Amino acid sequence: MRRLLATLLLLAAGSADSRDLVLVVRADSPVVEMDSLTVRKLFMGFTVTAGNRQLHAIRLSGDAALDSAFLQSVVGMSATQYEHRLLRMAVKQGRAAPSQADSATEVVSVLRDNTNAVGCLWADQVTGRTDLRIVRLLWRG
Amino acid sequence: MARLGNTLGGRVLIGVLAVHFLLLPPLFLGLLRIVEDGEGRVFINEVRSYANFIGDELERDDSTLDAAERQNVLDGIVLSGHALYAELEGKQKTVSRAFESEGLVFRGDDFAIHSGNDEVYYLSKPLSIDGRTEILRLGFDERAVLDAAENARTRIWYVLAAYLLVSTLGAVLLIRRLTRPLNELREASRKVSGGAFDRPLSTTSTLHEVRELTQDLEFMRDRLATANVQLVREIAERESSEQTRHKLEQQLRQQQKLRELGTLAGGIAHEFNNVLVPILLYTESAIDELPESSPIREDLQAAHAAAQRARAVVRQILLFARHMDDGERERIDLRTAVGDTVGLVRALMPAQLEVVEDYGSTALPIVGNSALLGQVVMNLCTNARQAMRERGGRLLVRTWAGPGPSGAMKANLSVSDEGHGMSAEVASRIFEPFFTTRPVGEGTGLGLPVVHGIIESLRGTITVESTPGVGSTFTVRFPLADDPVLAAPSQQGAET
Repeated sequence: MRRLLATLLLLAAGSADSRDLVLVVRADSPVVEMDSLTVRKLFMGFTVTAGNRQLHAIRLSGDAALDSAFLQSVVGMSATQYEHRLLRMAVKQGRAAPSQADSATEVVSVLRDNTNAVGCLWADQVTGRTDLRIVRLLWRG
Repeated sequence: MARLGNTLGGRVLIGVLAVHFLLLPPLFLGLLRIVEDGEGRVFINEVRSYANFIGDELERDDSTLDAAERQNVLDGIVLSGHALYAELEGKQKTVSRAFESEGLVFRGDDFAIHSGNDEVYYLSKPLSIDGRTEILRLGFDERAVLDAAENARTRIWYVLAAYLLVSTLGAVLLIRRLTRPLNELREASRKVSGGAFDRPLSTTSTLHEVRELTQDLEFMRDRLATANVQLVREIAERESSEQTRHKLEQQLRQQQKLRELGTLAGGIAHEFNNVLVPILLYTESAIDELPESSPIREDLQAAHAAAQRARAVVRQILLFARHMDDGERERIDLRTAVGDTVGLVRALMPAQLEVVEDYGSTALPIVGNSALLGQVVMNLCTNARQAMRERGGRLLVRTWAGPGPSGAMKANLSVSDEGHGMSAEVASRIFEPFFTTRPVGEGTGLGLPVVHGIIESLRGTITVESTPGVGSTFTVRFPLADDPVLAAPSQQGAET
């Protein structure tokens, strides 16, 4: 149901105004560029460093449309399998899952507070901001 | 249909079917959703994983791909069977499609199975190749997943239909199991209500509720049977009591009527007796004074004889009315007094009549007068002879000791004949003076009234049972000599 709603929202959004999903960090973050495999590792809970500093991923699960695009393009799994994988990683290897955010504002707040934080946002939510920087395009709507 | 709905079986069946028709549709949809979600989730995981793999491979390849190499890569993706459609868009756009999927065009990402109703699941993935952003777009065949979902839908249909059939059959069996003992109880109850109170109610059911119901009904039947026996007994007793009361009322009325008749007849007879005495004395005196050759002597003798007959009639009336001298009372054996008189009667009986005597072996002491008893027996035997003179028959005279209607021991005498008998109406009047069924001149109608008067004077009772064409039985009961009733005032009478 949630997925169906997300699909509808995404289709509606796409028909009105296409939105790109982008990987975002703070402007002074040590992350310069990141390939798709590293991005997936980061959001799967694996340890990823940049400039000898461990990066910290933030998942915006409160935006259904964004989360659907994130699951399809970034981690390449269904929501259920992704959550199972995170749980298994936490239980078996003690790895910390990405933080969960309910809104883009919360993601932005975390990114501004933590230079090692990496999050996913719609491109139009970042455009014009000088305190944040887009690392790469994750999905083109 | 309404009748079916008012039966236990009908309601259970309707209830079961209603519950199933309410629950089965959501159950079907739920199961179908679970299957479709499962199939779709596996499919989406596979295609996303494959897209990531391809994307990663393309990003990690440091060599720059020319147009032919890009086409080869995309053709390899399609020819491997993993995807129906592959597109890589950068500065130039390269597209590869499966042979049977010509005309496919990427129309945006699908995030769920069967989105867009095109049986193709599209996804896209931006790639960073040589510092440029290129978009990898893939389309995967959904038909296998949709077919699996359709197969699952059919299987679920079959499974739920089988479940409905089995559960309905189970409900029918349960209904039969529930209603069979109830039907048995109903049949048994109907038999009980039809009068078979002694038929116990039982059941073969092991259901606790049914067994309890059977026990309660059996207890009720047992109480009902007991009450019914009591009721029948009470009704019989009441009927017997009513008959006894009716009989006693009749006896009382008859006794009162006879007593009134006796009083009236006795008074008249007494006056006639007073008139007859001077007639007899003067006619006797006149006859004595007349010479033998006197022509009126014969007339006076005829008048004297007529007066004598009139006096005899008056004596009989007085005997009926107990206004005559009853004679001495003494302790006598009823058997002896009866036997002596029957011995005389036997000699007077015609040959076609059989006289049978049965006096038993036990003495029957009563307080009475042998002469009066002899007259009673003589009159009763004379009546019996008259009744049997046309057809003949047997005259039975019995004496015995036995209880009377009140239960007290009595000395009993019965005289039975096999004559023409009499109707109930005649039997009710035979003790009335001057009542007779014989032709004029053959009877005076005073025989049985005299018998009644004598018996009443001896504190006894007389009853008659008669059936027309069969015969009659007169039964006389006297108190035994030691009976305290002899010390009380006489209240005996005739019974018919």
